[in-house]
Amino acid sequence: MTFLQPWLLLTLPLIALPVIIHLINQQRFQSVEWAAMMFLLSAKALSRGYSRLRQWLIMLLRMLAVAAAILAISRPLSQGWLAVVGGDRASAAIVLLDRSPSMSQASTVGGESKLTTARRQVAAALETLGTSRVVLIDSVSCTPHEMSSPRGILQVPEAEPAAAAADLPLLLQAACDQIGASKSAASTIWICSDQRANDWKVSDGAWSAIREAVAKVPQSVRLTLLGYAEPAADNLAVRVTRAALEPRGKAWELLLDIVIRRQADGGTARVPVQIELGPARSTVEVELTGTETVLTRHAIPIDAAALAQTATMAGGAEGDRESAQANGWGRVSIPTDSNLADNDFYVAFGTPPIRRTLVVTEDSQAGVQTKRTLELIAGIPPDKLLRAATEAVAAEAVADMSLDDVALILWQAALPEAGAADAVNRFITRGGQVIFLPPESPTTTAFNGLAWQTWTEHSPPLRPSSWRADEGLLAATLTGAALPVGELELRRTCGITGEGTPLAVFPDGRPLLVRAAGDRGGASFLATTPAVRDSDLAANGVVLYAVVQRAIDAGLETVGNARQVDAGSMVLGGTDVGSKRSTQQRSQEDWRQIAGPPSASTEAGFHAGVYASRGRLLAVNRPAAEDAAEVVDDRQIETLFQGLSFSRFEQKAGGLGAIVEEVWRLFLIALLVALVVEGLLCLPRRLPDRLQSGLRGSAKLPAAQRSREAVA
Amino acid sequence: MSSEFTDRPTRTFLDSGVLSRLSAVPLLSRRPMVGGVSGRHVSPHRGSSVEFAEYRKYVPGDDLRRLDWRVYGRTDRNYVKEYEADTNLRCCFVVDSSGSMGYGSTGITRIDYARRLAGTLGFLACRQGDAVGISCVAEGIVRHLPPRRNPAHLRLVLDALEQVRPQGASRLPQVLHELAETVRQRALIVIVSDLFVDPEELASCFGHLRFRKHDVAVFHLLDPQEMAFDFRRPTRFLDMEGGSPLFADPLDIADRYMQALETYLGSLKKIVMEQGIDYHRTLLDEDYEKVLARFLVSRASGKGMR
Repeated sequence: MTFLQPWLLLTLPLIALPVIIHLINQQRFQSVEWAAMMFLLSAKALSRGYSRLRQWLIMLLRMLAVAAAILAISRPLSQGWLAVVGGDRASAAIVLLDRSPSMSQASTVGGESKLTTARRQVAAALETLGTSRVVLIDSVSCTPHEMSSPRGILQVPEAEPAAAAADLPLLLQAACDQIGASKSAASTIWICSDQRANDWKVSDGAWSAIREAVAKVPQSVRLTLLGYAEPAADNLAVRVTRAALEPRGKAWELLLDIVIRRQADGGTARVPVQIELGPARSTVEVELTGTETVLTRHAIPIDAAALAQTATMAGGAEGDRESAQANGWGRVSIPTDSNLADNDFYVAFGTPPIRRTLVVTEDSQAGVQTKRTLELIAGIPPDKLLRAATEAVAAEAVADMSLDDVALILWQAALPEAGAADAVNRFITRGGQVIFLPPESPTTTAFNGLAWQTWTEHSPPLRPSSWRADEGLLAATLTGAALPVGELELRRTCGITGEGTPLAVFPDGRPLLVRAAGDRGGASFLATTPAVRDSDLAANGVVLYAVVQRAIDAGLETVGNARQVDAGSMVLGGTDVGSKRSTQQRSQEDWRQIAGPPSASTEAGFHAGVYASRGRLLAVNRPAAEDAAEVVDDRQIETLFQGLSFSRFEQKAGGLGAIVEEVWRLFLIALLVALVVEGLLCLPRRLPDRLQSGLRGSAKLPAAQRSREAVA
Repeated sequence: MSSEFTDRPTRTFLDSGVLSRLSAVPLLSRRPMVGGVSGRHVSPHRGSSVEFAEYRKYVPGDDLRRLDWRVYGRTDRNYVKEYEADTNLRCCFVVDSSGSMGYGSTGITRIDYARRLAGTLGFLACRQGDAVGISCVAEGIVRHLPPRRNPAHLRLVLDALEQVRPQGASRLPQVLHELAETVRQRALIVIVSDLFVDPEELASCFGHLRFRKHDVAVFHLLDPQEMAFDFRRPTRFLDMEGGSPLFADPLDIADRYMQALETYLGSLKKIVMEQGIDYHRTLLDEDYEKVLARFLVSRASGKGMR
């Protein structure tokens, strides 16, 4: 238990005061000569049992009363009902605030969100504790913000809800760094989170490093988790998984894939989904069954004239009309429920950009043949309204090229090294796609963990035995028909070594197509080339065409003038935000928010909305993982903080109880109760009336009685 | 008689005013007494008082003067008219002189109170011609004066009262048994004591005295402090009869003390009712004159009961 006036506990030995007074009183006895000893002896004989117990009880109650008085004036603090919490006046408090959208879940009574409740409770607790130094580390910036007072947590914009997911290991690492840099003798880390699994990243290897870091900190560190894991079964979340502008005759159609999700199966429900596209609004009712319903390819016709009016110059003010692209944005909403953060989803769409492909081949006969095939396949767009462009370059030239408007690189040469490798890596990190094809003379150079082995000729030709038809470059078509991958004939293949995800394999287990490991998965390795002597990829061009066009589509997601990004995946604002997040892209452009809840410009990219810059649109929304209701259970959390001074307190959104509160009233009540009971026990037993009158009444027997005596 | 007392010291426990006021009420026995001379008390024998008793057939040898001639004239039968006999009584005071009699919280000790009661009663008895004796009792009979009628003997009794000092344990039951045997004729036994003995033993003593046809009167002297037990501080109680001291917190044991006292008084009450004892519980803060007046009047109103 923590006390605001702990030095008063030095007076605890005063608990022995009743005993001392009793002993002194025993020594201060009076001596009287007494005649009626026979009654005293009888009384003494009767007082062995209950009386002895009563005396002990009285003594105990007096000691309790003194103890309660001392504890009360020491101003004890407690969480809930006498649970022990950490923190004292001298320590610094580091508040790790989970600002993820799931923390916006509000209580059914009062409507206060988990985030607001957490801020209020932590601020009140720190204020009660009188913590001298308060540092806020929020899940958006992951950087420490010094608060002038605990109340600052309620006021700073860094504690407002955001659309980006939290990264608890990153927050804790930042807290460890902060503790290491500070000079506080003791620190308390307050973690305010709803324990979502996607935020906690339980399997992240950083946890062990964090435990070690906290254990090694010379200062005393105490961790307190305020868990707001309460689920919201009735909460609905809307998400648009695809927003594509497709030509329909001379007009355009916006095709939306809308997902409605809820955390628990609550039977069938009809959910009105409102779609706003500029001034136009439409509502579609979606029947929700189970936990998730997907409305695929919901088409909304777009007025071509209106779209043309919004045409902007993607290449800037000096661009040519050929590259002009039109774009727009909209919002998909569902009715308000317990979590406001997942009721809206912003979409940005635009006319498809030029499908630009870079073909890199080695200078050989086979390379020339491959180059022609690849240029042909990449240069034919899937729709006549789409435009495609291919460019063949030598591998050495890639390092100096601008790859900003390139969607796909088809690389049939020795794997890139040095400057070329850096350029390709940047390209992949930006969202571009690369398909590597084996060179004539494979080298041991590896790229993204994968490398070529040697060529192997197959006679008869090999056919792939299995491939991933559910996702990736070889996925089935929208109609559900599988690509004819099994019909391919591979006469010569090059082995692929390293860690990757095979998308297609031969019967002997060797891969045909491998996706390199990594967050973005923008690099794929194809084990053969479309050259005639190697395969019939060119002759049976459906598979290769699908693979290339799909890769171009994937690469265009970051090239087009309208993009969908997860909140937190790109830093759009000031330079001081997101410095801890190594995986984030940093945009040098000046993005301004044109739709969505207002937010600080320094946190652009972390809040849902639509951002615009030089005619390009960026729809920022919460990550898909935020819609998953999975939480980290208590056992897992105990494991994560094993060996550390850790305590966890379950809280609820809108909870009115304080985390830390002074409980001196409780001790005062205990004091009063002890005194009252002691007083009752000390009361001498009231003599029966008959005894009182018998002892105090007339000393002479009544006359009638005397008469009877006389007669007797 | 007055000249005899002039050279004697004044008895501090006697108050002439009280004596003069109480002398108006005779000290009567509740039971027939067998005295040696005529007195104010009923005798079991027929005598020559003016109070008619009964008729009895004449038998040869009866005094002819007692023959009722009127009855003979009416019935032609000889009847002798008999009258009640009045006699004196022997009044034996049994004064407890054990250590506990020295207790008194109201400015007067129990022995002082006993002196006043016994001295006054003795004076009144002697004055009406009764024999007065005294036995001072502690661990045994400390002083014993058998009943005598003459005033000189009263002086010895008063001397004994004055000189007796409370000390030692009390062996009142044994002494009462002994007195029951040694007092040969019917007597008025006046016991002045705190009766801090086992009630069962007292019952035995009283039964023995009643068996010997003694008229037993008891002045049970109790101090108000003993009744109230009004102590606040832890106290070491020193036994006035020489027993071991006892340390106790009065607040703890007051209720049980009262219980024990109640039980004791209840037992005593039952005993005196069963034995027909003239019992007077007397608190030391009471005026002894009132106590004696109540005693005398109650006896006077009960005259004639045999």
